[in-house]
Amino acid sequence: GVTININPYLCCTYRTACHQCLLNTYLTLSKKMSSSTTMAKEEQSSEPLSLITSLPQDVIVDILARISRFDYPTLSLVCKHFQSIVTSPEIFTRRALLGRTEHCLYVVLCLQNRTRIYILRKNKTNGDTPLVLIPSLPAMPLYLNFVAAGSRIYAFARKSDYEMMTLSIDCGSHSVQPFPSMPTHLNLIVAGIIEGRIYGVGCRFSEEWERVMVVFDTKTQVWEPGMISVMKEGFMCGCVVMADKMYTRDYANSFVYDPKENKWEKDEMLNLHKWENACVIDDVLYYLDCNEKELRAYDRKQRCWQVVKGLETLLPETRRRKEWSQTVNYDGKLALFYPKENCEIWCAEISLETRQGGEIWGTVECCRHLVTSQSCFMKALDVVV
Amino acid sequence: MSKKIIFESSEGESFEVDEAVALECQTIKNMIEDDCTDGGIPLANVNSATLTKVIDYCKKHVEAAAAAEANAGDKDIYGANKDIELKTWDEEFVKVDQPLLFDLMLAANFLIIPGLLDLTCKTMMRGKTVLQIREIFHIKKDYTDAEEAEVRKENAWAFE
Repeated sequence: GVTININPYLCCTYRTACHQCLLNTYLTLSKKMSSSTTMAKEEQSSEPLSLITSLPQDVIVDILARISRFDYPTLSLVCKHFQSIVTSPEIFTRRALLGRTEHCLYVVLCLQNRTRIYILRKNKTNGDTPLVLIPSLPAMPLYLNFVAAGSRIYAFARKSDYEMMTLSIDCGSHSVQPFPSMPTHLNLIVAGIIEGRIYGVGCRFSEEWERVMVVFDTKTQVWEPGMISVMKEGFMCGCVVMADKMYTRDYANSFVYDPKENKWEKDEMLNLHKWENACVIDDVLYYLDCNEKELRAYDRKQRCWQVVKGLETLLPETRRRKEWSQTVNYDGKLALFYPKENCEIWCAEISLETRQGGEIWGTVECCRHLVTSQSCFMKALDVVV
Repeated sequence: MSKKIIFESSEGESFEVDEAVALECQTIKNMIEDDCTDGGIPLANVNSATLTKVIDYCKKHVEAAAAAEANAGDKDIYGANKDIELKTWDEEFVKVDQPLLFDLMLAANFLIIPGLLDLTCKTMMRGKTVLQIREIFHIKKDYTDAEEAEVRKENAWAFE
């Protein structure tokens, strides 16, 4: 017979911990465990042994990486060792490696003139607000835009007429990390991410207003040298990414930018509606038309618009405040943030299906009241942690 | 006749399984590929009770995968065709006491059975309070009350 001990490479090719060491720990642990269980049955003669913390660090990380991120706060409170693991970059790398990441909705909200970052609780809660402040993340400047890239949120904020602030927020540890400043000062940035690169379009003033684009590589964490002149003036007010192309809109036109060919083109069809705060799910753009109180969808391939059906009860409740109306692709579902009367902001989770003939139908899975406020800024993001 | 693999538990008990079932364990798969399984595989760190459960799990998942393939060829175990039956089976499967659950998790880790490892890890922690987790794993609280209050505040987003 062949014992496993003679094949130490089996595990080493798979993970960092040495197989032999794993096995030894395992053996000792099994003994400890059986003795600790018998002890529990008899009388507690000595200190019970901690089962999990005596495992090799790598195994503990592997175990905790498989647990829902929404349980990490509980784990943090168990002991310092767990706390250090569930806030370490290592565990979030492992989660990504194992394909065990989860989607979380983050909401940037201005309340009482302070812009802070909140997280949306996953489960229905009784009475409590589902929106909870993340205390470790600082207040943000008022004018800013965001883009979520994996477990990070990149924020471009306007500090003054001459100064930009760039922040990189790690949603694993809920901490802010340095992020190189933009090569030039841009106003009112819209940004999209394509293959790990953030394309930010904004305006800058040099003799006259011009619109330029800057590119940040999230892998190398550097801004690419130079900037791309976009030749149009005026501010951008919408931006989404579909099929590796960036779709933007200013007050007059909609444009498509193809980074492979470095080419901007007008899209007349897309421009039929004044889309804003849009999201993309399965190659279809969605946005809430506040005036008409409709959820509109634009199919890039068919080049046509339609109204999403099945939301006839929900949408009439919305109010015409476009700054509170947002759509987010939340793990394939549509998270719709919308205002109701008396300044209430709500969030509905809508699942979408395309029926025969191409009609898109939405089903409201849940609706939650988030906050009541006169807030003038809100942005929601789906972060994968 | 499919090839059989023999496992030997820590108590020295032999378990004969189909090769397809054994292949669910990445560690064993590697050994089979390296052709070093003749005469049985002694698993000195897995007791009979745990090994019985592990084999049950692998068998069930091999059968389910075969059935899914026969039906539609869906790769994802809970995937598009929503294998609720398998999910329910999994849920029932982990309704065991904590020491056995812990043994199963270690065995899944050691034998590299990703599905079982996920299942046991999640079950062990799901819906548990801080005190329950400390009790299950015999972990002593090493926070002062002030430190604990601080951690609780930072993580307020997750607590009711």
